[in-house]
Order: sequence, then structure tokens, then C-alpha cells
Amino acid sequence: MEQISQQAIVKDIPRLGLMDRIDIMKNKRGFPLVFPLSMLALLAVIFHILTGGEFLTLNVLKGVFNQSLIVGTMAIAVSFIYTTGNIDFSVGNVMGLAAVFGVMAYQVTENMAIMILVTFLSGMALMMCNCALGVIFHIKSARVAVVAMSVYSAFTVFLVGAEPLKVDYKICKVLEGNFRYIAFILYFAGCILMYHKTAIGRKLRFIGGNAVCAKQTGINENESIVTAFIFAGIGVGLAGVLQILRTGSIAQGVGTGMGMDVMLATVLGGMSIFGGAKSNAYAGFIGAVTVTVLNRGLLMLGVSSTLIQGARAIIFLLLVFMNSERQSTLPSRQQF
Amino acid sequence: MKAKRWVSYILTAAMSVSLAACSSSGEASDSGSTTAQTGEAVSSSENHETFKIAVLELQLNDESTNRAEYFNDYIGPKYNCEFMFSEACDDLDSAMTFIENAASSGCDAVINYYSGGNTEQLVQLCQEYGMYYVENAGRSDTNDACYQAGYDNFGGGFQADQVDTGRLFREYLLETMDPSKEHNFIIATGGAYQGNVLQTEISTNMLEAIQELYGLTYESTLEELVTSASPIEAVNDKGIAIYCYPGGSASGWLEGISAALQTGKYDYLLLAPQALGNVGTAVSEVEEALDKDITVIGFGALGDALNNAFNTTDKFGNTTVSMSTIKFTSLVSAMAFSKVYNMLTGYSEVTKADNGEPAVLTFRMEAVTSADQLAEMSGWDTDGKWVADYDVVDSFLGMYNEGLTAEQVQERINAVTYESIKERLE
Repeated sequence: MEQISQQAIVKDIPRLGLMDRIDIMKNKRGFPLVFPLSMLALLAVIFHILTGGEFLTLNVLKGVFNQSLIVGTMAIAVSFIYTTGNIDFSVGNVMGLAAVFGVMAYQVTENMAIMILVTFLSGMALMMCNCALGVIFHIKSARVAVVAMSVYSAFTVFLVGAEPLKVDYKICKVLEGNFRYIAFILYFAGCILMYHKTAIGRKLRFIGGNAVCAKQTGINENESIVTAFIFAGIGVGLAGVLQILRTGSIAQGVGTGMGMDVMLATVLGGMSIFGGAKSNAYAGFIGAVTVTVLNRGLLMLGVSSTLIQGARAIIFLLLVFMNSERQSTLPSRQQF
Repeated sequence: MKAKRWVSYILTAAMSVSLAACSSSGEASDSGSTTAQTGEAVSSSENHETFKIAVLELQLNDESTNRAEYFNDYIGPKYNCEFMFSEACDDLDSAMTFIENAASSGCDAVINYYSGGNTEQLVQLCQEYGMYYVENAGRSDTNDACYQAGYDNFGGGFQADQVDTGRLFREYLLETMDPSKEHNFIIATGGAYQGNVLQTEISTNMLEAIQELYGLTYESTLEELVTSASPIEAVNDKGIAIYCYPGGSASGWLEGISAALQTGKYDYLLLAPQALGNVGTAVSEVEEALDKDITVIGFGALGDALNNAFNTTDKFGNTTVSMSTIKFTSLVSAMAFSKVYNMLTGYSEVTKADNGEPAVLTFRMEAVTSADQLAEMSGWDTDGKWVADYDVVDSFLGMYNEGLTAEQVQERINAVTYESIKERLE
């Protein structure tokens, strides 16, 4: 009798389907880090096998890292803004204009240190302009970004003129080596610490999850948003410096469209651009590396550039789909 | 939830199909090479290894499609070369990224159609990866140092004879326009504001021709008008409306041209960038709406866009385009290919001028003014009727011509004229 009832109980337990299991897996704490990293590792291994062992070599990996650096740095930067539920896709144009100011300062002083400083400060100042419009005048950040893109782009075209602005490429090559690695690692480590180990990061995530609740617990939303933009400004300034060091020249189109690349990298890295509790500071960099790995891997396989676009789009869709479901939380504010 | 599940299945299936397609594409390419090795290639390519050449494209259009066909299907098999093409690279960063990726893919040389005045960076990058480099640009103040620096991997540039191309536009305007009638002009200056020398030359010649016809004086210098990064009115003492409009491929450019045409003020549209395929509809709409005949003069390559432009008529019975200069894509491609191939096969001296610096090769464009004239060229520069056939390409290569010099190569390029092509192909 007891055996029958046990069997009945087992029979009555609802069986989990594949999608239910995926949902359970997606809601696990480590999923936002483990899944994109696993996908990245899987892609790298697949390309390594298909290219006959040529992909996972030091030169290729170094190239992948270098190519991901600028978009990755900006993606880390904007993760602070995205986390709060705000959105800013003008970062590419901010980076471009900051780089223009930096190169112009170099052309006047012929001093690389001043160029780096001016680029940093310009990046921060321009991001603070975007922030001020949102915080003081309560304009939605996405609307500010649309206007900022046009204004900064126009300034860039006006200041650069017909010929690209140039810096001494030999010095760029020297600085490009260790400087960029050290600068990036310091910024990345600082962001991870600030974001995941201090109250600043917790406040940003709380605001992104539910601004009303956050306010009721005594968190000053404006103050947190200003903090987010300061960290973003540092990152965008750094990206401007990296851009100058990589190319040694700045043309009119610098940074154009990069805001969308940053957004794509963020989403691919497993973070929602709507922010909230599951946000993190590393997703954007993982996403940027994933994009680079895909591009380089497919090219190394001999896939034509037109097919690459198609294959890339399909893989992106799949990855975004896997990361698309937002956690069930209290009702959030409207984003746009 | 069900919908998501189906989307998931569809995406997975699509990815599998896509990857399978990618894989079969690679196989097709491999088999192409095998055919080449077992066929004519073996005898004509001197049994050398397969060279892999990266082609960095600025735009993806009729010309780039034609070039890919010429390189992949015609040049590749005979000379035992594989080609790898980029997506559209319109900034230095994406150009550098492609070159780095090309190096990882085992490319031996780069042919660059993006010339943003950054020759030094790209030459050095290619040198770092052990690749040869040539570019679709001439020698100018921005890259002069690079020509003098003695880079072993730099084979110089190739480009249109800019002065000659500008002259074609100028002569056509002077011959066909009646100065007793008042006309107003939009001049699309293309990438002149970004330092594109060819488009600067064409735009300047157009402005000079108008100046000569009407005997007018501009308030600004020609350089200011041509290199302006934003639209600018060329104010003059005769009151002729001349609107210089920069750009050519960026989003919003066509809308800007269209808006200017819709004012009804302009009856001549002069195009320095290769944009004939883009403006047809905008011009027709304005002609229909305003009952105004608009003359279009431009710059193109043999292909569908140009054929359509010359074979469609507006409501006034005129062809959509009145005059176009054209270039033969295969000839330009052969010039680029011969430079890298000479370097790859150990004949680097063929790419150098008498003074030992890299030489710049130039080609002359032809002017087409009617559908009949274009019809005479029907089928030229397509499979089976390449303007630069094997004989032409061979004549540019050191391995088939002992003691060949860059000057002789230039003479052979100059010998490829409309008449000589016609005689050969028909």
C-alpha cells in the first residue's frame, strides 16, 4: 500500500520540460557570468578546431584583445549608466570628440602626457554635460543621447576638417604597448571593485531595479546617477586615449556608430540594457571580445564577408535570446 | 513561452543552415583552387605557392562586386591566388582591424581601396605582419614621407589620372552648355572635404567650367567651396545659384540632395562621387512633380547602375544621365594586382620608379554621353570580356617580362584605350 502511494506521488510530480530547465538555469546566480563566458570559450574552441589549431595562439588572442579594447572599455563604462535604467548611446561620439580635443592639445604642446590628460578630462566633461541635462532638467537620457550624438558629431566634423588630425605615430606605437594594458587593467579592476564590492554599485543596481523603492530607502537617485556618469566619463576618456594610440590619427567619422557597438557588446555579454539587480560591470567586455572572436574566427575560416554578416546576425540573435528574459521584479519605471 | 520555444527552434535551425552554408562556401573555394592548380594555372603560375591577397573595400557597390568576380574567378585560378574581401571599411580603425584579421588568415599582401590619408600607419601595420601593401591613392603631402621612407613592403599607389578626369567634365560642360541661358547647379563634392583628390579635382573642374562659361567670380576660393564639410552656396557676382553639397555615401546625403532639388531652383546635378545609381529616383520624382528637366552628369563604373542610368528616360525624353566618365574595373584591379604580384614573386623593382621610390600607376577614364555609346561597350568588363585580360595582366608582370620597369607598365596601361579594347573584344 505504501509502495503504491509512493509511486502515485512520483507520478504526480510535474515533469520539467527543456524550456523549464533552461529557465531554472537562467535564474541561477552565476548564469550571467558563466553563460557568456561559456559561449565565448565554446566559440574559441570551435574556431580553433576548424582552423586546424591556428586560433588559440598567442598572436591571435593578443589581436582579439587589442581589437576589443576600445569598445570593451566603453562598454564597461556605460554599464554604470545602463545599470540605473538610463541609456546613453552617444558614448561613441563623446569618445570621438574627446579624442579630437586630445589630439588638438598635442598639436599645440607636442606633449603626450597633456594629450592623454586633455582626452580624459574632455571625456568626463562631455559625459557630465549629458548627465546634467538628465539630472537638472529631467530629460530622459535616451533623448539627451540623440541630441548629443548630432551635436558632438557636428563639432568633430568642424574641428577635424578635411585632413585627419595626426599625432606622432612612432610615439603612439611605443605607448600603445604597455600603457594601454596597464591603463585598461587598472580601470577594469577599479570598476569591478566599485561596482560589485561597494555600496555605490549596490545603490546603482537598486535604482535600476526599482527607482521608487530605492528612493524610499533613502537612496539619492540624482547623486547615484552623477556617480554613474563620472565612472562612465573616465572610461570613455580612456577609450579616447586608446583610440588615438591605436590609429595615430583622428578623422571626422571617429566614434560614429560606436555607441551601437557598445550596446550590442553589452547585450551579448549577458547584461540587460534596462539595468537592475542582475547588471554587472564585466558583461560589456565579454560581449566585445565575443564580437571580435566571431569576426576573426569566421574570416580565418575563409567565410566571405557577406556570409559573415549573416552568420554573425544569427549567432547574435541566439545569444541575445538566451539572455533576453528579465528577472521578475517589482514594477519598474518606464524607460523611454 | 510557446512562441519563444518556436523562435528558439527556428533560430537553431537557421544557424545550422548558415554554418553549413559557410562550410560549403569554404569547400567551394578550395575546390576552385584545386581546379586552378590542375588546369591552366600550373603551366602559367610557375608552380609557385598559393598567394593569399586581402582586398580592403571602402564601399560595397557595383564596382566592388565586379572586382570580386574578376579577382576570384579570373585572376585567382591562373595566377594561383586566393582573395579575401573586407566588409565596407570607412574608417582607419576598421581598416586596421581587417588587416590584422587578414594577417591571422595567412594573407601575404593587402590591396587597399580605403585611402584616408593614413598610408604610414597601414604600411607599418602590414610590415609588422610581413605583408605587402598597395593602395588606391596617389602621392600627396599626407603620404609623401612614406614614399621616401624606403619601406620594403610598400608598393606605392594606383589611381585615376585626376587631372585628365577633371578635364573630361570641364570639356563636356563647356561644349554642351549655352551660357546665354541661365542654369543653376548642385555640385555634389563627395569626399573632397575628406581629402579625396579625385573628387576634389572633378569638383574644382566643374566650378571652373561654370566660372568660364558665365565669366563669373566667386566670393570664396575654389578650395574653400570644394573642401567645405557642410553644404555651402557658391555665391558669385552673376547671381547663378551653385550649391556645393559634400558627402556621397553616408546616410542622409541623398535626402539632402533630394531636398535641394525639390526647391525647384536647380536644373543641373553634377556628381563627383560615384552615386549615379542612387540619384535616379530622386531626380525623376522632382522632374515629375515640378515639370522641370534636370541634367545629371556623374562618374561611374561599367555595370548595372550605369546601364540603367543611360537606358531610362525622363518625362522629357532625355536619358537619366547625360554624361558619365567611366573606369574599367578590371584594368584598375589588374594594376593593383600586378603591383602585389610583382612583389610576391620577387620582382619588386617593377613597382619602383627610377629614383627607387615606389611608383604610382594611373589610368585614364573615358567619357560616355549616350546609351548607344554605352551599348558599344555592352558586356565589357564581365566574364569572358574582361578589359584587362590575361595578356594585359601578363604584360604588367616582371616574371613574364625580363627587365620590365614601372615606366613601361605605365605605358602599357596607357595603351589600353577605348579603341584598343574595342578592336580586341569585338
